[in-house]
Amino acid sequence: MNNRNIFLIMLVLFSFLLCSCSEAKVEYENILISGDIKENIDFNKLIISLESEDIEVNGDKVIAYDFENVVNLFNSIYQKNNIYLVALDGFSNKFSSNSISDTYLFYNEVNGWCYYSEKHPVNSRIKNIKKIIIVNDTDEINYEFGFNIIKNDETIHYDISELLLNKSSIYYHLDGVTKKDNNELGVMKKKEIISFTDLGLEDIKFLLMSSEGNHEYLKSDKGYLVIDGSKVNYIDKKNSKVINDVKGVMENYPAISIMDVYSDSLHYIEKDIPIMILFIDGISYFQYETILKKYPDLLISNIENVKKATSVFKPVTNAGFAAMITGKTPIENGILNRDYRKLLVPSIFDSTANALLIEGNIKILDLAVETILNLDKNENGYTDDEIFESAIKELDKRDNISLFLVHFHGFDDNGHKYGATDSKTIDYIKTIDEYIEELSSGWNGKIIMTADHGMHDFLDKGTHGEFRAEDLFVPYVIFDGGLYE
Amino acid sequence: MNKQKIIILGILIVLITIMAVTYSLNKENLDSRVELNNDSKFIVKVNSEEIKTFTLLELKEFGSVDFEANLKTNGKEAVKHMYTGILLREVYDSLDINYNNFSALEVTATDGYVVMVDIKKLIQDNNIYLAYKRDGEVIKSMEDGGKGPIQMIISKDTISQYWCKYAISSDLKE
Repeated sequence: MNNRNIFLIMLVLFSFLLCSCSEAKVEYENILISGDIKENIDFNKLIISLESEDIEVNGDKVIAYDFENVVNLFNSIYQKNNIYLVALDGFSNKFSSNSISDTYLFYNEVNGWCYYSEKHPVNSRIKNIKKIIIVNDTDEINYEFGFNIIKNDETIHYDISELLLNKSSIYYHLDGVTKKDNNELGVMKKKEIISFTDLGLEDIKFLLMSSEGNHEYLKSDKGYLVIDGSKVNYIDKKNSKVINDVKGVMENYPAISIMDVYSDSLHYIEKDIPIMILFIDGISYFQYETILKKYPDLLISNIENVKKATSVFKPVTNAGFAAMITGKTPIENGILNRDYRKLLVPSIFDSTANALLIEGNIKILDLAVETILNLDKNENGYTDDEIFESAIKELDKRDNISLFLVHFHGFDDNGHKYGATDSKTIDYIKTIDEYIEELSSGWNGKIIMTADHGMHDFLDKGTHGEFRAEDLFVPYVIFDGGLYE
Repeated sequence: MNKQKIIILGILIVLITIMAVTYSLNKENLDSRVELNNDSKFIVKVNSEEIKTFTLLELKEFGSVDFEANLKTNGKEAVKHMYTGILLREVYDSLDINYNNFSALEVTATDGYVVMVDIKKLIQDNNIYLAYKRDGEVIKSMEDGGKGPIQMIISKDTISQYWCKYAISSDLKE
């Protein structure tokens, strides 16, 4: 090899090194990926992570991407899907995810993104692809993704693809107004929207919740929904206010929320009436109804005026507990899910110096209140017996408690272990009932009994954290302690 | 040496320089991260009274060990990881504190999370650790999206429900 060749090789290597230092610029047009995928995808970023290959299309060599590899990167919710390729002019093709091996996406400057398959009919070769929609092709329902409507205690689930394909319509949204002399011009934007009327929610008030902790009471004619990839956003028609990642809406929502714990407690504290909060982790209103039928003689079944209350989204302990003690929605109090512990607002414990919290072996939120943690000392699998003994001991020891919160965990533990409707879970209420009877009989004040969230069956176990009636409806009651006159 | 050879040599020198600078920048970043973690504080308490504050570097002087533990997050199967850390018992031993006289250990995190574990778990051989590496990688701080720099791990628990990420103190309770 002569010096000239060595020089050329070195030059190529050096150029390659320089190029690799900066991010490759891809001038492809983007494709919108939407439907039943777990999170939003930037198609252009995704495509540069894939290896391309040269294929021949109508005698020309083009740089193409294996379509199956592309789709595999979409992080689909369901195992089997139909894939819709939508062109600029609205022409669309539907493929089963099982039939796309050895087919390709390629790009050319004239026709943009194109699909190429030798095994499908020739009209499958769609050009100018602007959108790819992933559509669930199984009988499964995943409430964690998509959009849910709670109506008459039932949860109706819509996959994103279902909203896009069957419920969307074109709407001209007033984006702004411009003026010259006395001539006004409305600037409109064409939007693909889902109206609440199309979802059977005509002219009603509903409660909307989002993953960002919004908890808003809205009227169905005041706004609409739009799809943003894998998420649903709410837009107010008048002021264009947007609520991102809406998880669902609730029609005929209960008048009471677990956030009322704050105002109800404060009411009694201000009147110098001691208040005890009996917090039964994970008991749903539906489980409570089962208990009423199965065990009508329990104390819990004979307390009057037990109401159905709403929890908050995400219905998990951190968010539910924070909503109870702050009276604020997750977006306001800062506790959206299990990852959050520090409150952004004061809690009910800040309203009195004589507050006490009796917990299991974990302090869930970062609270300044005196907290007594309890271990499962007798190793019976529950901390509730130790929590109860600890509560009784503290009540005997102190005579000035104005706010006393006792957090029982066993009902939730059993729900997770055996299932929400399993008799082992439901029967555990008998243990809690004994504790409630003894705690309440010696209490000279008011008692609030409620839960942070509910629970639903999942396979042979139980879980919660979704926008569905079983997780979001809990019992709520205020009653008198045995010594209260 | 002819002109072409000089050019080739020049290009080679430039290439080597670029590689050396890149390596040095990355190493500097890694070193500063490890150094930052070494400065992390861990407070040892008894009945809420602070006994001594250790830096992670000082804790490492007790001797780091590798151990396996099952990490289980919500709704997912447990995954076995190899951790590196210090046995918490040895920290109390170094202070001549007899943990056998206590009933529980409370471990607190920077985000306010507190977990109480039975003292039997601390007494058990090779069980409660203050880990700072997982699978050979430094456990990053909360700011960097990690669970450290110190994570309390109960290695013999089948699930990780009572571990404590971002651990900043441990407190023996009677």
